[in-house]
Amino acid sequence: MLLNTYRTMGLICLLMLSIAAGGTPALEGDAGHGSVEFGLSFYNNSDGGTDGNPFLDEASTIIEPALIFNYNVSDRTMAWAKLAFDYVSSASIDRLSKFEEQSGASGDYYASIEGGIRRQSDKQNAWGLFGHISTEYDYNSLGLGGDYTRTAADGNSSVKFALNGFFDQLDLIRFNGIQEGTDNRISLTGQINLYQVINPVTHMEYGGVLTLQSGFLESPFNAVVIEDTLMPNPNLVGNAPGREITEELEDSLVRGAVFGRIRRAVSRRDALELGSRVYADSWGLTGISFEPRWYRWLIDNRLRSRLRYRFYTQTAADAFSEHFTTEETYRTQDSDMGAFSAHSFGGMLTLHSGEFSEYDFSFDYILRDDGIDQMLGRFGYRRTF
Amino acid sequence: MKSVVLMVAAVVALLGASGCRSVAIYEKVRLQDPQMKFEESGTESHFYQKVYYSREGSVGAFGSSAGGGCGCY
Repeated sequence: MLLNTYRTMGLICLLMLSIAAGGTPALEGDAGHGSVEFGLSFYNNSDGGTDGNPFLDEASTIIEPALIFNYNVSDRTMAWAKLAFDYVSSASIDRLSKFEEQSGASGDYYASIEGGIRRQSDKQNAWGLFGHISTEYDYNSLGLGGDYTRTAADGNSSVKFALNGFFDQLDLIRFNGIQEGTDNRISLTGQINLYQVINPVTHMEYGGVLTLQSGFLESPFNAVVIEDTLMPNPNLVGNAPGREITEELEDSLVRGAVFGRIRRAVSRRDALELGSRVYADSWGLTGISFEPRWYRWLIDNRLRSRLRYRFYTQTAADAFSEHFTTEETYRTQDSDMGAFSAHSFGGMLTLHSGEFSEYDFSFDYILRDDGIDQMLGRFGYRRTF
Repeated sequence: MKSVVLMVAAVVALLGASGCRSVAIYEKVRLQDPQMKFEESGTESHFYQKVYYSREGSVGAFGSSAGGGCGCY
């Protein structure tokens, strides 16, 4: 029944795709103008013991500062840069006392630098290029990409084609601290984004994305517990019986999604939006989300709010199981690849301070039916010059 | 579930189909309002994409790379 539902939604989203095309806005501002944006975000999820993966404490906390610069080097060319850093304090901190080396399972950081240019060739054509470098304790990534946007002569629609590739190198530090050298991963993504003005108070954007991945696609520090022994294992939650072996997944993955959202101004102060996304991949995992939003000016040109609810549900990947009694060729107990549903509730306030500055304050809470509930908070500041 | 999905799809269709027509530049003032802009905060998009891709099995949509370079946790 769930598959039939997904098929129905997939057909509806394909129908939305067949409507006339759209795209992204053109460059804004004269040479010498730009903007700087700073964001400080917080994430936390707890684990009540048997929540998610019943053998692993999956509690984690992440703090992320990020900085984005945009600068118009000419009337037609904009340069941009994004810097981000994550401090991750995650599951199984107590594992550090048992194993000499641990990777992202027990503590980690992430740092990335990304930059690019956007060029408006003429009123209807624009293109962009970007480069990306990021590093973690056990992971390095290099990415390149480009895009082309074609806008209709009347400006009411545009279409954007984007292509990017990432080359990742992983240090294979296993769940027990053993280092097994390095391995690589390649990801290629093609995406189409369409934008369409429906009428003076309604517009929409929608599109599709396709990703091909190959190489080492597992998480090196993930383990799978084989319950073929009665011996308690002190490395498992509650000293559960079982022996740990490595997670194993196929070395290729095809993943695709279609998405869309439509927003309408319903009054002088209010706007409503409805968005949706349908996802499927070659490992058997499918996912669908719905996200209605309500935007409102609380004080004209000074303070506005955004309330949102997001429903997400996914089926389990074929290789997923909560319990294993034999060593399957492909096997994972990663709870993020299992079947679950989640309800998110969030709100944001945006304060406009003068003509050039904005402050954002947001909070979201995610209720997941496997018990891995999550809390998100964010402060943002944006200034144009 | 199927009835909810169909109802949501019908709402979307109604919203989109209500007066679909060519719009002149001077008529698009309302669409330029900050609360109508699809391009929201870049740092917010970056953070929420990472959260979803780290804690959900699906990736992809609204400007994401959908694979690689995520640094997901």
